Amino acid sequence: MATRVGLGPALTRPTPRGRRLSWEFWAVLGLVLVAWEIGVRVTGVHPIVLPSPFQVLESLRENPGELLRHGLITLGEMVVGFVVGLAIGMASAIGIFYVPFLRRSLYPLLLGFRIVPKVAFLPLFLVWFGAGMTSKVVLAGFAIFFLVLVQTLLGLSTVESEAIEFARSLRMSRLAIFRKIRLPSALPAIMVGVKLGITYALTNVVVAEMLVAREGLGYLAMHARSRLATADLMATIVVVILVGLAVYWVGLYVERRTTSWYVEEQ
Amino acid sequence: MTATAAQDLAGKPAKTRRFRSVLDPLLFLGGFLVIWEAVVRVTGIHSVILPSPGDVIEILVTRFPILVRSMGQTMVTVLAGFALGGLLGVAAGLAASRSERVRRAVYPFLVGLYVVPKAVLIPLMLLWWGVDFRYKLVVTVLLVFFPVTENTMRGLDGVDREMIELSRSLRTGEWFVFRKVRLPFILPYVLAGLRIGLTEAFIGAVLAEVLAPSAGIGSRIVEAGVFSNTAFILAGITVIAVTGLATYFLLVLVEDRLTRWY
Amino acid sequence: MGIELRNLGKTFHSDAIDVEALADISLTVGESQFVSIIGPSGCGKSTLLRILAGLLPPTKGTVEVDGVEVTEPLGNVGFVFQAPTLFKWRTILGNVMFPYEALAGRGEADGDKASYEQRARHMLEMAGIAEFADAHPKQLSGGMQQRAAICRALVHDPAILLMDEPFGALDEFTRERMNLELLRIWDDSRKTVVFVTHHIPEAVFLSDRVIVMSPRPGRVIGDVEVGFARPRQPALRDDISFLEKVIEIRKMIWFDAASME
Repeated sequence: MATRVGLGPALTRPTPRGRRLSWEFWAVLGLVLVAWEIGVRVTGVHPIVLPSPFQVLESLRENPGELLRHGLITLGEMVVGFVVGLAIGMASAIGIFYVPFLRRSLYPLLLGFRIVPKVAFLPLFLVWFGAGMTSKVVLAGFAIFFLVLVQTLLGLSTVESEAIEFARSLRMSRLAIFRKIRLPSALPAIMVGVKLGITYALTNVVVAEMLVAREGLGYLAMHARSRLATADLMATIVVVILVGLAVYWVGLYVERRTTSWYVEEQ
Repeated sequence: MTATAAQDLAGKPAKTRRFRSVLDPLLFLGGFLVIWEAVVRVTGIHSVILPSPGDVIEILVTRFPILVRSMGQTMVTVLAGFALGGLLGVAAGLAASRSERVRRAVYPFLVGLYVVPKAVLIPLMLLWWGVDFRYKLVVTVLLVFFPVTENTMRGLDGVDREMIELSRSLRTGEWFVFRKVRLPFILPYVLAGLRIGLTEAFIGAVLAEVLAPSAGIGSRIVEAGVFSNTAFILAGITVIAVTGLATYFLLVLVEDRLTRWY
Repeated sequence: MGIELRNLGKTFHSDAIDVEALADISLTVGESQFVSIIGPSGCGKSTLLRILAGLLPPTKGTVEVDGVEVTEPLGNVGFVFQAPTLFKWRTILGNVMFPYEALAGRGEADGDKASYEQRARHMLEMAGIAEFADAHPKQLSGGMQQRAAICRALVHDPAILLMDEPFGALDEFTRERMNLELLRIWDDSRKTVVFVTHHIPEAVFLSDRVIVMSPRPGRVIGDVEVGFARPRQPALRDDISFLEKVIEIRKMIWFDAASME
């Protein structure tokens, strides 16, 4: 069997430290904005197709209250979905791990299930819970649940057998082994799940809002589109991007604080 | 076969291990379906809320043509997005690695694009292009692109310094080193990135279909939801799962074949 | 193909600090001599080797290989690293043929592919791994892979052979066996060899001369003639005069270390 390289993008492993934004990055960002502004003015393109950066900024300035309100709703749903999914996911993973038959049978099924887009379940949740906040939270929770489940199982499985043997030779109880060896060892993988999960939860909430909702940033974006208010739409996009980045950094911070001791095997 | 599954069955002959690793999931699945069917029958729950496996199978059989047709339509988006996103991703990865400067300038954008809900760009695309194939393709490509770029870059970073030194000591040109050393070296990494890209391609295609009615199984599932045809929803999900797994395994086969000696 | 080093110095500049790796090395290696360079970690042995290969330019002084000054790769060296560094995706024969492709790409191959392949197969036979010619590296043990790497380093008939702790990753038994293998292969062509190691008995067993280097900045603190008859036999390792040589060299290193404190 050939060597399977890596678990995925570097973002699925604990993040290395010390990545600062270089001046080249800011230069490119600035250039893009300037080119955009100039491009819009020069080509005289209609603001419905492409508003200028200033118009987007205007929209942001004009509607802070609305954006804030919907933003908080989205964030709230995301947090609830995330926490519920995380708790149930981790608990289930621990339960599954200690039942060998379940572990053997579920792990491959879970890996295979990854290819199914969780958003395909949204219509199902809509039938069950209607077009309200519950569906959005459930979708986010559902997606997180599987992610955390897989990551936690992965983490629990990758303890060095020698460490376990050592603990057994000291006649440690299973609970003690779990608390003192497996769980800490599993932490890096779990934290990767947390880091990814937070952004994943946000994405799912936004997607759910876009399909059917009256509130939230996703809804706001779709609504702006139906009004052909492109500047508002782009403003909402900017807010979502900023929220997404903020949420990612929170996840990154949590991961670093809890797994600063982790050194990846080369 | 996972690490712990292997530990469980260690000590048993290889044939048993392979057999059990396929059998156990199937056993579980079978048991799950049986319990599900029993629960529905016993509680008499309405099929709109929870259809029985029997109901779902019935849909799979009676609505087979439309399920296959729409899955096929989705697959067009999946494969096109995968191919285009994969190509662009590898090209971008190669380009970014040539110059540290380019990399520093562009990499944060890529990361940023990856971690934010890219779905929020969908209303914008719908506004520009309406519900057509272009929109679905772009969504898919956007999702496929980053993992492929990231993995390509990681591969290029990982090229043994001594391999390069060896080539340099023989005074080979840059292009020679690229063709004969770097490219073959990064193949496993690129393929790993493509594996993730495929998963993302499915997500992108279905997402685009769910959010805006068009051809493809995602839209059909949403329609079924509107009519509370829960059994169809589950049938559709099953079709996606089966097709997804089959496609994934094909890719894995190709990958194994190409990297047999690595 | 003699090697001449005159007042060689190498300093690495970085934002933080300047590191003087080598200081004032003057050395002559005669044609067909097998010379070992020994010294503690960080004494610049690997840097010296890379300068000889033309991979790094010297900061001070000159390096000449057969009268030609080396400032960039001459393309006619053979290099063996501590890790076999074989290309996993090629067969063993494909790996050994790599230098041919490099030279042919520049139009500098003296001979066609067939003649090189013949030479490659001959080398593999000398190294005792002829039957693995069509196998892939992952099917070979570390020792066998290293033998293939040595063949690769010799297939293009280089002027000099540079070896950077090639047996460092092997266990003691394999190392001793590989020493004999190397001498056997070397005997066939008698190239000029510069062999870097930190294993004193290995250096004495293999070489005509052992150069002892000091810790950073690397200087030559000893140049010991090793006059044992060739071909060297395994029994030599138990010989009193062999052990005395080893002690002599070890004392040099310890003395130098002590005098630093």
